[in-house]
This record gives sequence, C-alpha cells and structure tokens, in this order.
Amino acid sequence: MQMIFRLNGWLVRLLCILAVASIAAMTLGISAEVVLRMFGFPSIVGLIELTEYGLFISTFFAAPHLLRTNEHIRVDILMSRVDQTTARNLEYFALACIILICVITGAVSTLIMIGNIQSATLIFKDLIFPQWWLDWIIPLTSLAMAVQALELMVMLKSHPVSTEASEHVPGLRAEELP
Amino acid sequence: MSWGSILTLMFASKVGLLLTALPVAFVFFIINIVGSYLIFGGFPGLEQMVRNEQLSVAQFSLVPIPLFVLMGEVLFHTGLAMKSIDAVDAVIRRVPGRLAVVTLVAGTIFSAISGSTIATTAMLGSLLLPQMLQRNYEPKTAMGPILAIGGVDILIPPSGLAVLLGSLAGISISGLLVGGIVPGLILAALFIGYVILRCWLNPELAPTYEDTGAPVAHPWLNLIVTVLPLIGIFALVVVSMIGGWATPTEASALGALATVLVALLYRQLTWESLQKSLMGTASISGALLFIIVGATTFAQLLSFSGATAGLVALIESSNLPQTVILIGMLTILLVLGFFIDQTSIMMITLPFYMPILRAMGVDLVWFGILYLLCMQIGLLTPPFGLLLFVLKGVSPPGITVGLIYRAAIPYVWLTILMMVLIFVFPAIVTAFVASP
Repeated sequence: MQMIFRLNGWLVRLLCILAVASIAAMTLGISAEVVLRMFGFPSIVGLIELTEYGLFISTFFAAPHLLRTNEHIRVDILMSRVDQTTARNLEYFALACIILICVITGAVSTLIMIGNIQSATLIFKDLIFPQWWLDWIIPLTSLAMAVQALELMVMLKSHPVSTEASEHVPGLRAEELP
Repeated sequence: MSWGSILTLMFASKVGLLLTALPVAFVFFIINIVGSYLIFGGFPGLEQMVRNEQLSVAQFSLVPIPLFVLMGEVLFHTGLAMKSIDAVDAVIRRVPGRLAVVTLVAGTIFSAISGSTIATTAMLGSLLLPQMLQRNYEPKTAMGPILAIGGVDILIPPSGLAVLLGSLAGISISGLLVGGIVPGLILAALFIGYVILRCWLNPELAPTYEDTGAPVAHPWLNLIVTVLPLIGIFALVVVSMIGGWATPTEASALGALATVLVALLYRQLTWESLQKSLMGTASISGALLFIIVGATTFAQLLSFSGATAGLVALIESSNLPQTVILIGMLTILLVLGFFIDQTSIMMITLPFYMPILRAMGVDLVWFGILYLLCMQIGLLTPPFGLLLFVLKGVSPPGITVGLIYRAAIPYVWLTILMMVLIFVFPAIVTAFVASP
C-alpha cells in the first residue's frame, strides 16, 4: 500500500508540474500571438483552442495536488468548533465522499474514453485530432485523487485533525510569507 | 417532483454537505452525480455530467483568471511589492494613522497590478500588521485597512472575479474591468478618509512614532522609479483593452509577461521566485476553476429541472417595482456571501439573475459592478469571509478570529455606502464604459 501511495505522490507532483507548465505556456503563447499581430504577422493557428485545452489541463492536473496540500476551498465553520473526535469523523466522511466521487467520475469517464476510441471520434475545430487525446485526463486525475484521498484517510489514523482555518486558503503557505 | 421541491432539496443538500467541511467543488460533484442520474435520466445523465466537466473550464474567456493571479503572485514572490511599500512609506509622513494609510495606498497600487486578492491581503498582512502592532496601533485599526484593500482589488483591474463574472454572465469583460476603476478608486479614497478621520479624532488608535531607519534621499523620485513601471503594466492591460488592440484574455497575458519582465529588470526575478509564483497561480486558480467544473452541471440541473424558469416567472409575475427587485437581488447576494464562496454564489445566482436583468433592460455592467461589491463584502463577512481566514493565517498569535471580524465591520459599511452611491448615480460606472 505504501508503495502505491509513494508512486501516486510522484504522479500528483508530476501532474502539478504539468499544470504549472500549462499556465506558463498559455502566458507565452497568447502574448506571442498579440505581439505577432501587432507586427502584421498572421495569427497562430489553433492557439485559442490550445489555450482552452491548457486551462482544462491545468485545472484538473492541479486538483490532486490541492487535495494533497489541503488547499481546496472548504467551509470550516463546523470543523473549527467541534472536538477532535467529531472533526476526525467529519474528515473521514469528506474523504470517503471524495473517493466515491472519483470512482464514479473515473469509471464513467473511462467508459466514455473507451467508447470514443472504439468509434474513432474526432474533434473538428481549428485542430483535428482524436477525442480520446483529451478523454484520458479526467480518468487519470480521478485515479490520482482517489488514491490521494485514501492516503489521507490512512494518515488520519495517526495524525491529529487540523481545524485551523488558514490551512484551507489556496496558494498561501506560511513559509513563503515575507 | 415540482421545481420548488427540487430547488429546496438541492440547496438543502448543498448547505448540509458544505457544513461537513467537504471541499466546495466536491459538494457540487456529489449533488451533480445524484441529480444527473435522477434528473437527466440514468447513465446518459452521468455521461453528460462528465462531458460538462471538460467543457466547463475549456473556455478562452476564463484564461485571464490564472494570468491575472500570476501577476499578483510575481509581485508577491519577487519582493517587488515590498519595494513599493517602502517607497510609499517614505512619502507618507505626517498623516494620522500613517501605516494604516500606507497600507491603503500601497494596496491600491497593488490592486492595479494584482488579480489575486489573496496574495494582496497576505502580503500586506504579513508585512505591515506586525509593524503596526509593534507600534501600538489598536489591532482593529491595524487590521481593518488590510482586509478592506482586498476588496478594492476585486474592482480595480486586473480582477479575476470580474473576468469570472463577465464570462459566466455574458457581461462585457472589458466593460466590467474598465467600469470598476472609478468605483475602486473612490472606495479606496473613502477608506483612506475614514482611517485619517478616526486616527485624527482619537490619536491613541495609531500612535505617532519616530523613524529609526535611514532616510530616503529623494522619496518622491524613489516612489516614481519604483511605482511607475507597475502603473505602466496597469496601463498596458487597460489601454490595450480600451484601445481594442487586445481582448481581455490577451491583455491578461501581456500583463503577466510584462510583470515578469519588470521583475527581471529590477533584478528581483529568480528561478525560485518564478517557480513559487507559478505554483501559487496553479493553486489559487486551480481551486477557483475546479469549483466551476462542479458548479456548471449544478446550474444545468437547476435549469433542466425547471427551477430557474419557475423562479424567474415567479419574480416577473410579482409586479414589484424594478428598484425593489434589484435591491432584493443584491440583498440575496449579501446574505449568500455569509455562507458560500464567491464562485459558488455566481454559479447559483447568475442563471436566475441574468434573464430577469435582461428582461428589465438593466445596464449589465452597472449591475455587474454592484454584484462585485457584494462579492467583496462576502469576502469580509463571517463565517466564510475568505480574507478573514487569510489575515488569520498571517496574524501574530493572540489575534482572534472575532477581533478580525470586528475590524472588517466599518469597511463593510463603507462598501455598502459605495453601493448606494453607484445605485443612485450609475454614471460613476457607466460614464467611463463604452456603449455596446
């Protein structure tokens, strides 16, 4: 089990790096498009479409990392007012819900992907490519999140539950503050 | 099942699940899974839900959200923000509540370059709050301006929430960004006036102190050199949109790139700071956009079940005056702001609000700015005021959540005053926005 968690940890980090790379690529790509246009060059074919997929990829690939670092936005009114046992039970419930969601979403999205591969479905926009090139993202993300949630569940047995509101603020890490 | 029952059931489950501390995005997912199966019709409904997840964020109009956040993160992690605060501090000398005023002025400057309210509040809180407390500022006087300026950040472009609102509601994004400038500046002026007046009436709230650091030789020149390039980035973003050279998405990319270049020119950009900025951007925008992934199907379920149409028809048939309906809508936003995050509020209310507003012929940019002000208040009101959490996270030990709540109250009232001004004098917004 520990080996699976370790491998998933690497996967979560890799996905996060890809999310970051996607944001950097979007910034450079769109800026280049504007500068090229200002100098009379033609637009980059398919850039808008690629940017849209980039946003989709960065959102989904960042999600498992946000789960790992407890940065998904959540309402902790109750959590910060209950005793440790209740807080732990609430945390178990939340993680169980996440696993259930990921299993259902992962299964449905995998079936959709298999269906699209079998029927050779294509995306026809500025760019033309097989639909499954995008379809694998949700199953993979769901898998990474489900395993991550399971790992957090296992860790919950031996770690105290944090009820600090500040830990649920995305993008804010104490060690990075001036 | 009637639309009323479906509406009640969906909202009751949402509130119930939110209270269990399940992340907001996953609350939507759970309701979507059950709702899609029951309302959309079995397995095809679930397939539709998954397809929605993909389509919901793959939108060019949403791209400015991470890019505006990136601008703020670069400012935060490269230390450019600290330089600006020092420059502002060097010119603001004999003003009652000096550090609180510095917070507001520097915060307004950051607002013009940062699309991340969280980054702005965290930065000002961690830098200036300890200094103010050390100089015996009354805690609420010290914390209030830090909380308040986060709200100004929503109005003054670049603003991630304005982009989100424009994209989800079909309101002109550049209209919202440009229309927010004057109200944002007036609001900042109101906050500064309030701080000066309070500290002038009661000097004990912010005792004066002697400067111990080395004096700056040419403080005004230093301010210009430090702040002008940042204002230049703001001008680049706004002028490129107003001039029609770039769409809001393109302007956001230019702004992000320009911010990185300015940091590079100041020799403040390191590989580490760039990595942290990008990581912070992925976290903040990822958290925000993942809620949209969940909330899109939720909004569709409301619409498909007839709840949206039913509620709109009910309001239209009520024959209430337009002003009453608008005030009612804004009041609902304020109430929701106590309990739910800003993205969820948008996803829940906009499917109802937009048909009503269009039917009434209301200026959408004007209403959009009022809407954003309600979102700003939601950031400051307990128990789910995100900025309250941010400030708690960066406060020294001993600062309680209750104290932070109380520090925000005067600024919430000033924001409501601003809303009244915009409601009575729409030209504050509309005079500077080009007609469609």
